[in-house]
Amino acid sequence: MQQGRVVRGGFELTPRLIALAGVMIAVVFVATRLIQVPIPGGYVHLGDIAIYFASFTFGPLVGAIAGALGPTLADLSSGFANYAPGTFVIHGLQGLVAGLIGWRAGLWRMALAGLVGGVILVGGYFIYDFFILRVGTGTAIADVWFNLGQAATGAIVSIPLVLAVRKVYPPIETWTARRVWQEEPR
Amino acid sequence: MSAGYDLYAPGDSWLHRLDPRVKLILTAMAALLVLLWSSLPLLLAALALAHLLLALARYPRGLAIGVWRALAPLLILIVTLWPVFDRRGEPVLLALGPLIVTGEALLRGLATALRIAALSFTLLLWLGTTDQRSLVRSLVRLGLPFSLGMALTIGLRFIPTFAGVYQTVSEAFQARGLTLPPRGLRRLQAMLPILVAALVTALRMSEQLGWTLAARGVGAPVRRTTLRDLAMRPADWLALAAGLAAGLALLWLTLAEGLGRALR
Repeated sequence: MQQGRVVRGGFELTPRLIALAGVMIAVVFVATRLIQVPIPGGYVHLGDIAIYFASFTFGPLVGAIAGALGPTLADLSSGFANYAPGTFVIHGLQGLVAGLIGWRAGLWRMALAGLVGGVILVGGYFIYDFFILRVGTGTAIADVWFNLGQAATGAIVSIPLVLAVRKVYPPIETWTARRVWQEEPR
Repeated sequence: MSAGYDLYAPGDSWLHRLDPRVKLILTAMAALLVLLWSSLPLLLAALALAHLLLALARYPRGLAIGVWRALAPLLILIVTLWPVFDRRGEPVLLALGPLIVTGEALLRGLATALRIAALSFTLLLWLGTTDQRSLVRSLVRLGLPFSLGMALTIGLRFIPTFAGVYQTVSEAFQARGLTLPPRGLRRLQAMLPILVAALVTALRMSEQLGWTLAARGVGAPVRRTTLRDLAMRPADWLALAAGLAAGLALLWLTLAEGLGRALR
């Protein structure tokens, strides 16, 4: 007879996490490049929503991998390769930090994670634009407005999305839990 | 990734045949140089060289034009906004209240836009001539952990699959009466059920994939072998040596002698 207990896991890449990270990379890519919603004065893509979903549901490791690689592939495949190194670091950090704060958390911690992730996104791209690409003050400021819209949309829409998926598909709550089995003493 | 989602164009040119690790190292070196330069003629030369190499590799003109189209809004934004925020230099071309536009600022804006374009096309030399399998394999050989390389491969493979799932779910919802408002937060709100259904489908796929990977020994503590490995040919070593020598010489000239730092 064996007795099992579930511990909080997700910091090592098991086969299940490799598959999950891979699929979430594809989800983030599609959400970034192919699902765009027109808003007054431009459009927002759903990439940040997908990154927050990965971080809040599967933790910082999957969040960081999907966050770093999904949007980077989107940049590389759409002609914006010049943004790829910045995107890799900024969105990776966004996914990591959002996962550290909001993984399996309630509404308020997810909101806090969305806020901190937004600061990383907006600040990170401003620094990359201004100091690395040196695109000039005007373009860097214009980019801030676009990223503010992205960050706000990501944080606002991802929370109800996470809550809805948790409700309709409860097994995902246990996917990043590591099972440790102990034999019962005879 | 299928056609339409990436910039790779199959071919048999010398650039296609070059080892992907060599291409990555030389592209990174060239990108660093382009990032350091501000000189209009030098950036123009780098952009022309990238186009020449793409043409020699028989890279499809349509894909290159697609990259220009994607970059165009950003380049126009840079050229338009740069002179508004930069009032340095002469001659003054326009003085309208607080708005002062100088010729030098216009040229600086143009040089910045050229730097962004040159950087994109330099990286296109690597992306446009390296297929995804070689790209991931080269990253793993350069130190990326195998598990991350595997996740990246799965991601690339699943992009068309998830795009198809999303499309199917969206059409199914709309066939059953879901109306998507044309824009704004209402559209996002209406898209939530589509996203939930598409995500759950994708997650079920990942669950099965995880079992398959575990059944095939992924994650087992053994030394992995590969069926087809990358091997450096003499031509690859030669290209690496020549490219690195030229790149390092240009880097030394840039950092020590100020090559490409001045606008003209």
